[in-house]
Amino acid sequence: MFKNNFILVIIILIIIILTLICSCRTVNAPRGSVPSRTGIENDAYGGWISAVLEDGQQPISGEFIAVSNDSLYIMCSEQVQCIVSSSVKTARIILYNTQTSSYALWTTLACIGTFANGAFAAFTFPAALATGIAATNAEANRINFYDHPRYSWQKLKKYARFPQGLPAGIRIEELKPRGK
Amino acid sequence: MDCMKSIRAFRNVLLCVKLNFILFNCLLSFLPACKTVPVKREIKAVQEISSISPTQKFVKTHMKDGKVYILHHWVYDSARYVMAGYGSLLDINRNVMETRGGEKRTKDEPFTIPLTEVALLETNDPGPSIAGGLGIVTGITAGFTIFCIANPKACFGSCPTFYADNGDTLALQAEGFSTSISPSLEKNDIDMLYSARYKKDFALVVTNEALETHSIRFAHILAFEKQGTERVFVSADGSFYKCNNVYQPTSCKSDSGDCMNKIQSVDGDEYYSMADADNLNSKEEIIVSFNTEQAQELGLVIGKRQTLLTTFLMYQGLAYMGNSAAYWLAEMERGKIARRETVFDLLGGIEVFAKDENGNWQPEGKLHETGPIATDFNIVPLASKHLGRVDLKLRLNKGLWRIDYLGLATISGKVSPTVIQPYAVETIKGMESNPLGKLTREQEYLVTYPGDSYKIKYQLPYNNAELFLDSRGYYLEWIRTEWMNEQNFRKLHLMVNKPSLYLKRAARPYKKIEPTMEKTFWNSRYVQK
Repeated sequence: MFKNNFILVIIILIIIILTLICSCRTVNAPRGSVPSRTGIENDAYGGWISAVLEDGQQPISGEFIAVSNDSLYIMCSEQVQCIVSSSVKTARIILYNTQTSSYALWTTLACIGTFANGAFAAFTFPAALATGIAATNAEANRINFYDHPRYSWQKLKKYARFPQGLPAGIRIEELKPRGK
Repeated sequence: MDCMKSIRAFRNVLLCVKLNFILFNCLLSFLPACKTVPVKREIKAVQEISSISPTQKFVKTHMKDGKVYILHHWVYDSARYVMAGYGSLLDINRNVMETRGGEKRTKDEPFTIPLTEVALLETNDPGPSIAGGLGIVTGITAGFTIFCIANPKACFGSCPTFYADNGDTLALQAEGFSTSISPSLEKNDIDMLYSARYKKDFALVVTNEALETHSIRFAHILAFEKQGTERVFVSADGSFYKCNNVYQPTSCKSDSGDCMNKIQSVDGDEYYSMADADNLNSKEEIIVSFNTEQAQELGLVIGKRQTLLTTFLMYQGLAYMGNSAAYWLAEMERGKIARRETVFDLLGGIEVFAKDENGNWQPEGKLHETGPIATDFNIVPLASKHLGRVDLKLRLNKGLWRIDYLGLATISGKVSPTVIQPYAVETIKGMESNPLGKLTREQEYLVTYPGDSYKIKYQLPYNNAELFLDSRGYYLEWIRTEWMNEQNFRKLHLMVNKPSLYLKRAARPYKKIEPTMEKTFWNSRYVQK
């Protein structure tokens, strides 16, 4: 009876965890399109941009290649598209993917693992839960993206593959997407 | 019997409820914050390369042709206007073209990148890791706490520590008035803010990270307008010298062998020796050579901090005083203890000698900067001009100094600072109601306690300038309970009246903890960074 109640409490608490995590924003790019946070120093590709365009044009997303005076270069599918920067209504550039789901899983497993502690679980379970929720919550709320028009293209260009602008002498047909 | 069992069970339940209440309070304190930690990416123009901290592990060098170097160990050679380093060269599609270095980097030639071909430089600070969780952090902290109890004299003693933005992160820049351990010893301390990023709206964060009370009378910025790669250094007598070039050493030899790779860049990889096992008062020599291109006024620039030997001796002295520490310090305040040669005088500073035409070593000057926390930079101007090879000798106490940088600067002249007072002070954590007033009114002090932290803001007048911190005040050590057990007036007498003999006797206990002191020290800060 006691065990069943205890498991029930855990399930409720885990639901609370998931609710809390969902209450905070988690913004991620497609898997494999940006590095993890720790890999960002070693990664020389641009961030993942999703742009909403004026006049009902199709939204566009892909690797952020470069910014010039009046244009943006974005790697869509396997080719670079050049769009006029003034035609972008809103855009979001994601630099890396957070590990929120891994942390949530870790928290859940750690909490379940405290069953093995016997009577000490009365202390280790809340400790694992507190630590796990705090860490998951912090991870979910990392600022891993920047939005336009909140930030100008001048500020955002540093998150492109070529922060200096498209180098002279490079033809956009030469550019390939990540991993190709 | 049953009644006793029931009482015990009730007590256990009560204890459990109490502990869980504490734990859930901790949990709830984390939730509302929903903290956000951004990645910090900095883009620098090539001309700003000297403002990138060499401690920045990864630098991306974007070339004008679209290629990029990702360097993990690098140096900037201002004389050749190149940067050299180990890492990878990537093409425009970010495929690796060439890698040099890695584990066997000493066998590879580093990349040499002409800065004329560089478009811009990029650094990234991914921010702190959360992985590992608070549980592990707590575990590690607890481990170190236990070690700290076993080695109480290795634990953090700091004097006020000053942090500033170095372009990448908030970095330790200076420690104020380290020798001012009582009101009567209050004095000024000038520290170069070597790696602080210059901006007109400049800020320092001052913290109290030890079990101490800090009384800060003022914290002014001394600013020297400069152009390009010019730097300004301060000498031991408080004179400031503008320097337009710094020669790298061509060789560096110490008693323990070649020390060249330790002293050629400001990277935290320091040269240091271990103290003598028989006598803490033992000297060593370092011979460093340079090649100059024209005869001009020169000065040796030394970036250094102390090891924990002086901290150990100071804490040992307080431990010998034990319960009477307050009495002895009061006697010192009243001037009833005559000034005499101390253990610190015997350990001394760093003496600099230059080799003359006849091959004789001529004394050039001496530096002395107390404090084991922040690396400070000073210049020792040379008496005569040198052309071609310049041989210099440093004489210093074994196991007392950690030297990060040696360079020979060409001096263009003496300069005077513009003194800037703070215009605002923001309380990060602390109890002072008017911290700005305390720092700007001459008769008052900004008093800080363990864990306190204030952000001091300045409006700087120039587009670019070398910055120094001019701080004044004193601090009071809190006597630790563990020290009381060591009260010993006989040893105190020996330390004060026969310092030379004391330094021989203290060698053995110091050597026991010397190898682990640095690590224990940094992990025992009252405020973990």
